[in-house]
Amino acid sequence: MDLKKIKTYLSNNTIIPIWIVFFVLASIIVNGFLGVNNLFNVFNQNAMKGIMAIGMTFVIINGYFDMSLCTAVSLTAALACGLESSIGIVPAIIAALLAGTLVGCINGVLVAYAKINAFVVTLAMMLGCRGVAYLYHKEQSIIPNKTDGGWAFIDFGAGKIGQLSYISIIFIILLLIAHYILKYTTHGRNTYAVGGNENSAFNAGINTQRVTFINFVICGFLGGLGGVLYASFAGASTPTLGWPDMHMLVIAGVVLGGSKLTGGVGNIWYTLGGVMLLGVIDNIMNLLNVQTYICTMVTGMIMIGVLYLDKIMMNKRTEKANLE
Amino acid sequence: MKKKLLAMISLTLTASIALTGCIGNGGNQSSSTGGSAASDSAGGSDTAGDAADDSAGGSGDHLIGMVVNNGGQDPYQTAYYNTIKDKAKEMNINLQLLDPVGDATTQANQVQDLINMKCDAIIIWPVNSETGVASARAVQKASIPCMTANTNVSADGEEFIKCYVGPSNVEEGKQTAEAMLENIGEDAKIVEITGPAGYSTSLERSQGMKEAIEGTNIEVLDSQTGEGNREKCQQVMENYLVKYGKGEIDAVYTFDDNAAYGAWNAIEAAGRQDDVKIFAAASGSYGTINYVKDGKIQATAMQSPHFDAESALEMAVKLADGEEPEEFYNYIDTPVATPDNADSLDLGEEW
Amino acid sequence: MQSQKNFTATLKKQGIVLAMILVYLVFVVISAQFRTFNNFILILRQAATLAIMGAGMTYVIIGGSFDLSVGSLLSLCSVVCISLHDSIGPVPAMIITILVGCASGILSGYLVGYLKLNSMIVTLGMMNVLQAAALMWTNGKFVELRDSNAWFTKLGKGSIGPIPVSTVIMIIFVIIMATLLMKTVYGHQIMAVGGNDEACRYSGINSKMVVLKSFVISGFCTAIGAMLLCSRGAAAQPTLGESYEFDVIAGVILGGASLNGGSGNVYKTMVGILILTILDNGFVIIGLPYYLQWVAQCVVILIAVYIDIRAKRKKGA
Repeated sequence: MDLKKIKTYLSNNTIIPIWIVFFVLASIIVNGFLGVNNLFNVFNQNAMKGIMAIGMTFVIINGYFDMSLCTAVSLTAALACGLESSIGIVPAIIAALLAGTLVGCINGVLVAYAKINAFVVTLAMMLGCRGVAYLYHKEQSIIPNKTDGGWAFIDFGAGKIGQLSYISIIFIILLLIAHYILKYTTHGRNTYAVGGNENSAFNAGINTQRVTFINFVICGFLGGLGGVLYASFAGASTPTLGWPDMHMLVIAGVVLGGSKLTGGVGNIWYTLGGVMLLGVIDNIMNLLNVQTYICTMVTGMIMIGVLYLDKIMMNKRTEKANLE
Repeated sequence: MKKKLLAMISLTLTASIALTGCIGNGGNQSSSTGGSAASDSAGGSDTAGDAADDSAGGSGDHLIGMVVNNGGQDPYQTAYYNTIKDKAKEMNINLQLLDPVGDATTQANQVQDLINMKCDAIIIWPVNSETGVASARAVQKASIPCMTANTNVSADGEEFIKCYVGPSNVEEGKQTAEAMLENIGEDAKIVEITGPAGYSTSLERSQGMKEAIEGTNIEVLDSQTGEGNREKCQQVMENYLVKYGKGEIDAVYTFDDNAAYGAWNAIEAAGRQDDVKIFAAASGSYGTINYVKDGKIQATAMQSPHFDAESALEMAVKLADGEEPEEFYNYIDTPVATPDNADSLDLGEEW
Repeated sequence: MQSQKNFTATLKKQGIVLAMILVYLVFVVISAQFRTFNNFILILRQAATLAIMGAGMTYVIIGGSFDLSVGSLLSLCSVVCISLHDSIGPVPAMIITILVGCASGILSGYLVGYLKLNSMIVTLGMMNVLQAAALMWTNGKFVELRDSNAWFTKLGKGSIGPIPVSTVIMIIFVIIMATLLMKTVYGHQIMAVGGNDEACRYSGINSKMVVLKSFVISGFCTAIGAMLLCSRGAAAQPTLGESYEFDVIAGVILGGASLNGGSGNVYKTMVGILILTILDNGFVIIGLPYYLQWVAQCVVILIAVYIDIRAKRKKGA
C-alpha cells in the first residue's frame, strides 16, 4: 500500500478523515456511541434528510441551490396524507410526488430559462409552498388513517428489516442510483461541466439550460419523496414541517461533505458523509446530555470547525483546480 | 506543518467535546436535544447503564422519560423545563429530559429512544397533537405507561395514553372570552392575534373563544398570527389600528401575554387605550398580573408553568408505580384575572 | 427623440423603483385605509430596522458573500441592549451593543475573508452560535426596560413632527452607507473584490481585509437596527430576530444586487425592503389570511425580479 497515495486520497476526500476523527473521538469519549443500536438509529433518523440531500447534491454540483425544500416537504406530506381519504394512499403519494416535481419544474424554468437568481427563485417558492401548504392544511395537521392503506402507510414509516428501517433501505437504493447517474451517464458528466464553468460548458455544446432544469426537477422530486416519507414516519403531516431551516441543514450536509457550493465538485458519497456527520454530531450532543443552548452553540462551532479542517487538509493541487 | 495543524485541530475538537461532556455530566444539566440517545442493548456492552446515568442529578429508582416541545423557545416553556428538572432532583427521580426544539419528527425519534432506554413512564408534550399519536401508540405497544403534558394528543390518540395533565387550552380560551363578554357586552367587534401558525395550543384557545362567543353578536373582524414574537404582534396590531379606525373595534383577543404586550405597545402608541381593550387567552408569566392590575390587560387566564410541570411529574411517578390515574383529564387550575380581582387573586405559592 | 430614449433608459434602469411604486399604487387603489398618511408613516417605521440591516448586507453581498447570521445577531444585540440599559445606563448599553455587533462581524469576516471558508455555511454556524448566546444571556426569558418611556425608547417610538425618529435615522444612515459605497476608496474596493477576486490581488487590494470590513459593517448596521427595534417595544425576546436574515437578503436581491458579487446599490436595497414592508402592511390591511400573504409575496418577488432582469438585459443587449 502506497502511503503517499493514501494521503493524497484522504486530502482529496476530506470528509473521510474528518469522519474518522469524529468517530474515534466519539467512541472514546462518549458512552453509548459505539453501540450497534445507536449507530443504526442515527442512520435511520437521518435517512429522510439524506434522500433530500441526494437531490440537493445534483443541484449544488450544478452550481445552484434550492431553498424551497423546507416548505415543499410540508406541502407534499400534506397532499399524501390529505388525499388519502378521497383517492386512496397510493394515488395520494403519486400526487404528492407530482407536486414536488412541479415545484422542481418551476424552480428549474425560472432559474435555467428565465435566468433569475436561484436564491430569489427558491426563496420565493419557499414562501409560496409555505402558503399553499398552510392553505391545504387549514392550519391543522392531517393524519392518513381513514383507510387501511393509510394505516399501512403509517406502519411503513416505523417498519424495519433487522436494524435498518425501510426508509433507510430506500435511501441506500437511491444513493446507488444517484451515484450511477452522476458518474456514468451523460447527464451526470454534463452536470459537473455546467457547475464547473457554465460558459465553457455552453461553448462545448452542452444544453446548459436543460441540464440545470433537469437537476432542479430531480431535487424537487426527491424533496417530495422526503416529505412523503416524513409523513409516513411521523404518522401525520403538519404545516410546520421543515420550517424554518431544513433546507439549510440539507445544504450544510452536502457542503460539509465536500461538494463545493460554487459547483463542479462533489459526489454522492460526500453527501452521505456530510449528512451523517451532522447526524452524528446531534447524537453526540444527545448522549452527552448537553443542555439545549450549549448544543446549538457547539453545533454551530463544529460546522465552522469542520469547514476549517476541510480547508486545511485539502491538497494544494486540488485547491488550485477548484478555483475558490 | 499540515500534520501539526491537524493535530492541533483534533486536540481542539477533543477539548471542546470533553468540555461539553464535563458541563453535561457535572451537576445540573440533564437535558439533551435532537438525535438518538439509545444505547446498545444487543451487544451486551457497558454502555447500556451509562446513558441513563448521564441524566438529572440523583439516580433514583424511577426512570422517567420526558420529551418537551421547545424548551428554549419562550419563557413559559423555559420555566416549565427548569421546574421539572429541579423537581425531579428534589424527588430523587432519574429524569431523562429531551428537547426536540419544536420539530415533530425529532420528537418521534426521541420517544423511540426513551422506549429503548426502558423508562418506567414516559411523558410527552406533543409538538403537534396529531403527530403525537404515532409516538403514543409506540409507547403503549412497548407496555410503558404513557401520559401527555400541557398539550394533549388528538382524540384518535387518547386510547394510547393513560391520562393528560395540564391546562385545558379550550377552557382557558373560553373563560377569558366569557370575561370579555362581560366586559364589552355581546354586541362588539373584535380582532384576534393568534400564536405561531399551526401551533395546537393556539388553535385550541382560539376554538375556546369561538365557542364562548357563539350565539352572541360578537364579530371577529380579523385574525392574523403574531408568530409568538412580540415585535411582530406589535406590527400586526399597528396594521389593525390603521385598518379599523376609532370606534370600529372594541377589543383584541390575543393568544398569550407576550402577544398582549406587543398589542399594548401599539395601542398605547396610537393613543387608543380607551378605545381598544386587550384580552389575553392565557398568560404564563407572573409579571402579567401587574399588567392586569394596571388595567392594560382586561382579563387573562393565569397559567403557572411551575404548577403545570410539577403536576405532570407527580402523575408520572404515580404511573411508574403502577397506579392508575383517577381522572383522564387532569386540568390544572387556571384562574381568570381581571383588574377587579387581581389584587385578591390567590395564585398559590407555586408561582 | 434622444431625450425620450434617455428617459426610457432611465426608467428601465430603475425597474425596481417602478415596481415599488406600482405595488404601492395597487394597494392605494384597493384600500381606503391604506392611503392614509398615518399608514405611510407606519410603513416607514416598520421598514427602519430592515432597511438599515439591508444597507450593511449590501456591502457583504457586493463582496460576494452571504451573512446569514444577521437575524440571530439582531436578537443578541437587542437582548444585550435592553438588559444592560437599566444597569449601566442607555448610552453605555448602546456602545456595548455596537461593539457586540462589530465583534460578530470581525469574527465572521475573519472566517470568510482570511480563512476563505464558505460564507453560507460559516454564517449558518455563526447563526447557531449567536442564537445560543442570546438565549444563554437571558436564560430563555425576555427582558424588559423598567421604564417603558425612557428616552431610549424615543428612538423607536418618537417622532419629530410627523416624521418618526427611526425614519430620520434610517434615511441618514442609508445616505451615509450609499455615499460610502459609491464615493470612497473602500466602496470601490469592495465592488472590485466582489467582481473579480484574483484581479484585485494583483492590483494590490488586500481583499481579505476588504471582505472582513464588509462583515463588520453588516454587524454594525445590525446593531443599530437592533436598537431601533427593541426601543419600539422597550423589551426584547431572545428569538426576536428569527428569519430576519431572509427578509434582509430578499430586500438586497430585489434591489438588484448580484448574488455573485460585484454590483449592488444601497438605495435600491432600501427600495427592495420597502417593497417587502409595503406588501406586509398592505396584506394585513386588505385582510388577506397570513398564508395567502406568503403566496402573494412569492408571486410579487418573482415578478419584480423578472421585470428587473428583463430591464437589465435589454439595456445590456
